[in-house]
Parts: sequence; structure tokens; C-alpha cells
Amino acid sequence: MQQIYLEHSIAEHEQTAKILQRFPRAHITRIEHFGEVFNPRAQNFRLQKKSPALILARKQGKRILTAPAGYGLGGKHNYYFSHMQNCAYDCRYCFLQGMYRSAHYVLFVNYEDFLADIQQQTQLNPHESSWFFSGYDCDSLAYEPVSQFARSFLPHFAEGPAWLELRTKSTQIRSLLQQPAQNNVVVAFSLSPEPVIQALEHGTPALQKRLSAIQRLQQHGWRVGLRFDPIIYDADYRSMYQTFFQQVFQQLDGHSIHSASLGAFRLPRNFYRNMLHLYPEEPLLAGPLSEHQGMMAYSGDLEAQLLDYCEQQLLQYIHTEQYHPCQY
Amino acid sequence: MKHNNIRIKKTATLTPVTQHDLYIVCALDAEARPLINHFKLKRLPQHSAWPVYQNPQGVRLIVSGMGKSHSAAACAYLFASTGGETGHGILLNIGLCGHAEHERGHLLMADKVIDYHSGQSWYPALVIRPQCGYTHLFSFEQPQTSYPAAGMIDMEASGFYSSAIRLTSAELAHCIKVVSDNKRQSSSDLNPALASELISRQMPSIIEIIQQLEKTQARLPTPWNRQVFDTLCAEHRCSVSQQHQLKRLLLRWQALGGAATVMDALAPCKSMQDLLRQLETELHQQSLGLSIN
Repeated sequence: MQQIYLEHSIAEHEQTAKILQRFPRAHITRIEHFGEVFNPRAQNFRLQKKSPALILARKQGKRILTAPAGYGLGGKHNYYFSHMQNCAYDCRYCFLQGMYRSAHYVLFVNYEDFLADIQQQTQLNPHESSWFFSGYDCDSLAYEPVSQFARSFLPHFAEGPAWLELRTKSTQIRSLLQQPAQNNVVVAFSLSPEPVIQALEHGTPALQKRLSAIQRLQQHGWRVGLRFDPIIYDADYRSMYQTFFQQVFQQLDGHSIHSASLGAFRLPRNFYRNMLHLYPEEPLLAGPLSEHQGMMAYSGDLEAQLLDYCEQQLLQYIHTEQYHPCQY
Repeated sequence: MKHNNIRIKKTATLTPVTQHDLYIVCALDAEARPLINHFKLKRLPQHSAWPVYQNPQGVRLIVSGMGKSHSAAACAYLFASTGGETGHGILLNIGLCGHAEHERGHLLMADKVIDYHSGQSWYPALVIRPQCGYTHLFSFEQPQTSYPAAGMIDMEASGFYSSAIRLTSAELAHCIKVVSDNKRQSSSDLNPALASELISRQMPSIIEIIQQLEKTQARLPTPWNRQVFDTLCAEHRCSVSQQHQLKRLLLRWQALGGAATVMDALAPCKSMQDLLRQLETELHQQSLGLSIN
């Protein structure tokens, strides 16, 4: 990390000190609020993505948000939170490219405030299941060596009753393997066929490495979820996804998976337009997409065909109770 | 007129690129002289508002005069009058500055540009790692005899930056300064020859910074092909909205490989409306053949 922006308000925070120790050669610029650097219009996400800076900040205001309707794994109360904005990976389909103007990593170091809010939210419904989803605006584990997010948060979920989902493509699982597995935590891996990883998920671990990480976590007792989202169209998608599901479930026991979900590639229209501006040469964005109710998605019945086919393949390996289709 | 003549191979869709897409604003002729010499810039006689220099490789330079407003206006003038494309150019303010501590001749870049009087500030996006390092740069209305701010001080940067940031992105707009005076060595002995010499001595580092920025700039998408667009618009009457639609579809055509067969299929179209419909259909068919492998 070459450049770190430091909010005055967290300059003396314990977490900040630990992070700064890791980057003794970084140039540090003090700022009042992360928005001064992160929000200005005249920034190019594509140019910054090659060499993003790290912004250490305090998350103010509402830290825990209600998940959209249809999002969840069967729990009654679903929330999401983001201890970080932006991701260490560079997936060409990712909505963050269209949502943010900057590719800098914003890391909110005031974990204690997030945890207090989670506790408060859980206490509102003490007898019903509350799920907290992490990894919406970032990968939950990819930045773990720096952020120590999982290491800091997991102990607070040990007593229940709240559930936590860590969404990741990362194989940074050391902190999970160094502590006992927790029943109310699901480590949800996003998986794609290797050709999709090669073409679109730049900087992410290969499929085989993700599968090996899943196996190690399962052996250690952690609950693992599988997220097949986004499903990407290819002229030969049937063969590609058939081979993919075979490969995944040759290595993993489908019935021991906590949950699986499927969702086709889709983006809010405004994000899509921003991404098209950044990557006009990207074939994915020139694909057979059309707009429906403010979302760009595969046109006509193509999306239904894709999802039906993949669902049919997936349900050969898991029970329907384990399956949670993505709805939007 | 049929447009069979727009059979274009994918490689031909790339607009010829100049070696540079660089705009430099200097306050004084003496600061500009080493850059003019290095890039072999020629003065453009048609510009009388400010001295403007250019070379065939795409380096442009303007001598703005001292002060924030001159710098802001000259920056915009240079960009607009020499055909800059918004969001693509590298815009630099290169010149001398004061700094309380650093030695005369020391080179620095700005990590934050602050208008001292208004308090307004800008953060250039630091995507390169220059050897010289970064520090804050404060712009004043008047020459300073003391050093009231912790960083570089000058009279142009905030004007330049407020203008530059409307023309390009923060990764490509930067202020590069050479220290001319400090607490121990005042600017009283500064003359044009010494000013040029101070900049000259740092030219290798300045060129290295420009090269790093050009590597960053090269990651921008290739400018889209106007040739096909212009040909199609010339052949069919079209509204502004249809022009936007055509541009979107041609970008998509380019992303899908720019197959000549798509253009062939448009030949029978009698109007822009027909052409857009046909192009959309062709591209949809082509996108169904997209293969990730």
C-alpha cells in the first residue's frame, strides 16, 4: 500500500495503529472525512483500481441496514453492514465499479460501534432469528490480513442468537482455522466456472483453490454456503455450467452445504451506464442485456433459460431446502 | 449512396494515437523554458491571449502569468483551444514554489491543493509513486515573505487545479513544484536564469513523473471510432437522440469484435430508424454467440 488517507477522528484508534504498522513506507495524508477523497466527481475508477489507496475512517450514522425484501436465507430479520467499501478483487461484473466514483479501499475501523449496533438490533427481536450479512460492499475475507475483520467480529457472535454470513471469494481463511467453528456463522463462497474466473474475476483465487479452502473450513467444522451469483451467459453455457457443477460437487458433499443460491448477472441501470463508460470494450457489457424496471439483465427468456438450466443442474446435488434463489 | 466502403477491420477501428496527450501550465516563461526546450515545442502564432506552445507529438504548454485566476483561465484555454478530450489528458502545473524547510532545488508533488484564503481543497489521486514524494500545496493571493503554512506555497495551483479537475480526472491532474526559496534562502536573488536552471536540474525527475502518468493514462479505454459514425450520419438524416443511440450501438459493435458482416447487413437500410433497428437486431444475434473462452 503506497498511499493511506487517515481521518483525524480515528488517528488514535487502536485498529489504526495496527494497520499503519503494516505499511511503514506508505505516504500518509490526514483528512477530515473520507468523503473528501472518496466522493469527488472527477475520479476514474478504472485508473485507481490498479493502485488504490487505503482510507481509514470512522463509520458514522446508520451502520446496520435492513436487507432488501427477498434477500436472505430464511431468517425472519435480515440486515447487512459494510465495514469496508470496495474490494481487493477486480471483477468486471461487480456493481461497485458503477456505484462508487473511487476505487480506493475505505476501511471503517470503529468495529466496536458496528458490534454495539448489531447487539442492539439483535435485542429488538430476541426470540426470532436475525441474520447479519457482511460482504455487500466488499469481500468479507480478502482483506483480512490487514483488516482483521473476521478475527474481531466472530467472538461477538459466539454466544448467539444472531447469525452472521461472511461472503467471500478469498482463501484468506487462517483466522477462521485458528479458532473453533461457530454454528451461527456461515462462510459463503462465491463460485464461478474457471473460464468465467479467468475472463472476468481478475485477481481472485482459482476455482480449485476456493474449493480447497471450503474443504478445509468444513473439516474444521465451519458451515459453508455456496453462492452461484452471477451466472454469466455464454454461447455454450449448458456445457460450461454442467462441467462446473460436476467439478464443484465432485469435491464437496452437497448435502453438507449450509445453503446455496443462484442469481443471473444483473445491474441497476445507472451502475451499468457508469461501467459501460469505464469499460466500453468489455464484451460482458455488450452482451444480450435489456432493461427491465430499472435493472439491466439478460434479455427476454434468456435469463429464465439460464437460471432454469443451472437450477436443474444444482438440484441434482443438493436438497431443495438448501436452495435459496436470488430474487430482485 | 451505399456504405459498403465502411468495411472496417477491428484493427482499423483504433484512432491513431499521438505519443502524448499532455497539457502543461507554467506561470512564467522562465519556468516554461526547460520544458519548451526538452519537448521541442513551437509557439503557435494564432494565440494572442497567452503564449501557447505545441509539438507534433501532442505536448501543449501555456504560460499563464502569475496568480490563481490567470492559471485557471489559461488551463481551460489551453485545453479547449488545442482540442483536448475531456477525461483523457494529463494536465500539469509545473513551476517554482516556496517551502519553509526544503532546500532550494528540491522537487515535490502535491497530495492536497489548498486555496489558503477560501479554505477550499482538492486531492489529486496519487496513483503513481514518484521519488520526490508528496506534500500539501497552499496557494496564496499575494507573494509571501514568510511561510505561514506547513507545505509548499505558491500563487497558482488552486486556480489551476479547480480548472483542471473539470477537464480530466484526479489521477491525471497534478502539481509538480521545485522549491525556489525557504526560511534560510529568500527569493530575493531569484531571476529568470536561476528559475530556468532550478527547473532544468529537475527535468529528469519531471520526465519520469510524466512517463509514470502516461502509463496510468494508457489504461483508459481506446477512443471510439468516429469514422463509421460520421459515415453513417452523413448518409442518413438523424436526430440528436438517434446520434446518441447510434454511438451506443457502435460502441457495442466495437466491443463485440467489430465484425464487418454487421456493417454489410446495414447496407439496404433506407433511413436512420431502419438502420438503428437493424443494427440492434444484428448486435443481439452476435451477442448470443459470445464466448467466454
